[in-house]
Amino acid sequence: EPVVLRYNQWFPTGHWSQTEGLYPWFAEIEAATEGRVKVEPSAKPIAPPNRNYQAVVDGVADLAWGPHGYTPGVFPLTEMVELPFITEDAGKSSVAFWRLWENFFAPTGMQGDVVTLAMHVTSGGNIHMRETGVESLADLKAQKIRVPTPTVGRVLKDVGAVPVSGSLGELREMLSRGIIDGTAISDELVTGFKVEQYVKHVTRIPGGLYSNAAFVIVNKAKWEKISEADRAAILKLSGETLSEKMGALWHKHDLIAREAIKAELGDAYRDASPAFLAELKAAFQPAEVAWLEQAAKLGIDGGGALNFYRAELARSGGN
Amino acid sequence: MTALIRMVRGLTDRIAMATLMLMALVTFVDVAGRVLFNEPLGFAYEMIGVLLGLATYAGLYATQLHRGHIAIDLLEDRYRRWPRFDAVRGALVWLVEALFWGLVAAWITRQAGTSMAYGETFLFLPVAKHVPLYALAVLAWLAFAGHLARGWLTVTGRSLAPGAGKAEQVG
Amino acid sequence: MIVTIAFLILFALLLLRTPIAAATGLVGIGGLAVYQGIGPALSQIGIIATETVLTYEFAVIPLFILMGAFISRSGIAEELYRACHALVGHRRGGLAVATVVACGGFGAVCGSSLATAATMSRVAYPPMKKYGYSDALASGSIAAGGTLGILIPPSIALVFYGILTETDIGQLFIAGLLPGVVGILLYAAAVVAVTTLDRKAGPAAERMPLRDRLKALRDVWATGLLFVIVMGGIYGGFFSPTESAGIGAVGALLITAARGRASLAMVRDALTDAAHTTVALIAILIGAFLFANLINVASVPQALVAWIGAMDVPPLVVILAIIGVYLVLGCVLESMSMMLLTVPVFYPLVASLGYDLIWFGIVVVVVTEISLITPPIGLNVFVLRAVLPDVRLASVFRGVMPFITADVVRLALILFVPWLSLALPQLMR
Ligand code: NA
Ligand code: NA
Repeated sequence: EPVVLRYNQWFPTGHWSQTEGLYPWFAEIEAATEGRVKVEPSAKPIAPPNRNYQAVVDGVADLAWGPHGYTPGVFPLTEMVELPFITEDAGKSSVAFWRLWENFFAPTGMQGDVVTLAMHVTSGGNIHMRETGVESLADLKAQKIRVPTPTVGRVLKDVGAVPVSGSLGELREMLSRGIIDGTAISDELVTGFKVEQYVKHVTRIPGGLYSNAAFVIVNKAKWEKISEADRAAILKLSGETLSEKMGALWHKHDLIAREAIKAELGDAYRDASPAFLAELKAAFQPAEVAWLEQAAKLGIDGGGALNFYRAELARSGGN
Repeated sequence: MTALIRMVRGLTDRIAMATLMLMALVTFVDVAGRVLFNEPLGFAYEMIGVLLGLATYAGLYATQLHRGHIAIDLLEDRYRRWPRFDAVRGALVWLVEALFWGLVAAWITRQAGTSMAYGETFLFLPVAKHVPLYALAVLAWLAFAGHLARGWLTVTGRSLAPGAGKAEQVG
Repeated sequence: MIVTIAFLILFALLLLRTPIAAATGLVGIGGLAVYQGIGPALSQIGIIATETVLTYEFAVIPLFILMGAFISRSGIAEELYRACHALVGHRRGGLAVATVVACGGFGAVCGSSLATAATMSRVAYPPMKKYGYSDALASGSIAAGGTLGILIPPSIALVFYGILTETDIGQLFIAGLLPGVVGILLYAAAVVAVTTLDRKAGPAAERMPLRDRLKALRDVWATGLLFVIVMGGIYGGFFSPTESAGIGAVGALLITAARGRASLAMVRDALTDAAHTTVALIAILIGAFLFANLINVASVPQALVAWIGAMDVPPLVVILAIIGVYLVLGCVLESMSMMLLTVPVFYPLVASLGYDLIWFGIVVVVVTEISLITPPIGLNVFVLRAVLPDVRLASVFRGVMPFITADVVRLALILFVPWLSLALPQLMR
């Protein structure tokens, strides 16, 4: 009798993160355990994306993948890897993130109610605009920009832009109808959600304006039902290996998207100038300070963690 | 007792009406602010969700009290011809509803507790998520009480003041 | 097996007149407890009962309902009806035709089929009774006409479909326009057929003087204005379809006020009405989600898709099979829960067969419309019953039969003439 892990399928089944990332990993698990462990995706979401974590804790789903940021406030520590200018190559960043998790975050008891099989990041966000190019903070003034995180929203508001919130589901509607003038978003999401025809200008922010942290987690009781040997076999396919695999997949598709958008836009796809970048860095400075304070409150050495993460990235050439 | 039941009805009705009107107004002000003055209410998105929750569970009290839920009344005429069976049927249905809405109230309360333990917040709305969740829980328990009240009114053969039954209409 | 038992228990509970929300919800939890254990099953109540109502996208439900509640007290429905009455009322069955056309016009400013049916039953039933129309034709034309509200934009059902399938809601809205008009024409044909077969079903009313007829037609401006605001705002890029519901609600209130019909009592009345309809629908949504999770956890959709795939038949047969599933489910499930349950399962399959998802959306909504008026669960019919308690349910269901026939014809047209649904959206692509 095989152990069947029910996977909460809330993301589109045709997306590469599923077809090239998780589904092949599910197949590897089945092969490595000789069919004693199977993963079965649900036909539609069993729990909404912001309840991924709770669903696995409560046994509603056995296995879930999802961004930490969908439940704001619950995973304050991961906000560090979502800081701007830090995610150049999501694959390398994900290796660093996994090690950071093992050394600094896991010991705090974070995600203690579940078994964590991967921690990865997604590609950094750029500035995508409908009509006008953005080359300085002043260009953002009075522009309606959809923002993915409160941090980006706060900074944009400070510089006179109009931050607009809205789900990814509404992105197409908002962009195509001009409800927003632009959005902070990664290139791969723009092509992934097929809204590239509404984007006429892109300003690439090296290292990203933000990024998303994500987990792969399994229900504890279900995990205990798997034999020790099979658990070891699954762990071998997971952890740093799976984290890197997911991150690298993001980087690969981000580069593909970048080339596709560049081919379409030509010079209208630009890198942020050093002057613009300096302006942005100054504007985002308080975000890093805020995270360090938050980390201190949770009893971890924030400065040490940040240095560890940066050193890992420097070692792998990830930033 | 009937006065208390009516008072809660007045209270929950007011909450439902106010939150519903607010939903429309917040959307209107948000869009008008964005289109005309480039100044949307950043939190409109999440606030609408909270208002929908409050409107729903506040309105649930009257719906429970006056049997406002949608049901299939295909065999209603037939049931009326068998009063004994109909009484048993009514009691059974009442129990099924009590069980379901009792579980709903209890597990909304539990959900609020879980959210509080997680330290969950909203993305833009400046309030912890368990605050509106606990408000939903209180309203859900009131609605459950409304269901009990209906049972009590039926068994004791009492009725609320005229006009209070208006809510039985759906639509 | 467990799912079969669950369906049987659900059916029994529904026939015993258990409210749909509690019946689907409790059976769903019970089934989930068998599959996953009591803890996970109960946890899903907490998640679904909170997240469903805290979702911005679902705010379209109360907002479009509120818009309908204001509109129905604005006098717009009476004016629309009077205008249609002025044009065709003096012919045999003319008032029923007027009802259907006015329903279509009302559907253009109202996103909810229930609100359309509820409003038009208050407006159109009394005159039809006065001129000696049969209960069956009078209530049947209202219940059926009400379904036009969810195809002619704006539409809650199309918003839901757009969210579920990630298709452009604006394009879906405009795609519904022509099939909606075809619906009006076919319903009118159904009325003509009924009154030809049974001359007493819909006697002619007296002819209005020309002056009154012109005046009645002129009064329709308010409807036009609101339609332009809501749809123009969406296409002009001022707001999203979700937001249009809020704009429409406030706009309807303002129009009502501008015509001197607004009062504190009227606003209270509309809000109370809208609140109760909202609760009834959201409660059904919560129950449906719990039951849907049982279907989901039991892997019924995968079995269904595998079964269809294994048959290796032409794509059209698959589409017909899907429609068959909808018609069967429509007998036991309420339309909203039916869409939520099936669309996520079917749309990837339909897309992989090379069909246009906008077109499939229109197909789904038309089939859903049929479910709104077919027994035993036809929400429009129930709404009608709630508003007109003296009309027998059986006569309503008898009355809608000719209209269901018209719907089947329309469904065939939409299936075999995709141009009907796709011509207008292609213009805006
Ligand atoms: Na409509
Ligand atoms: Na039906």
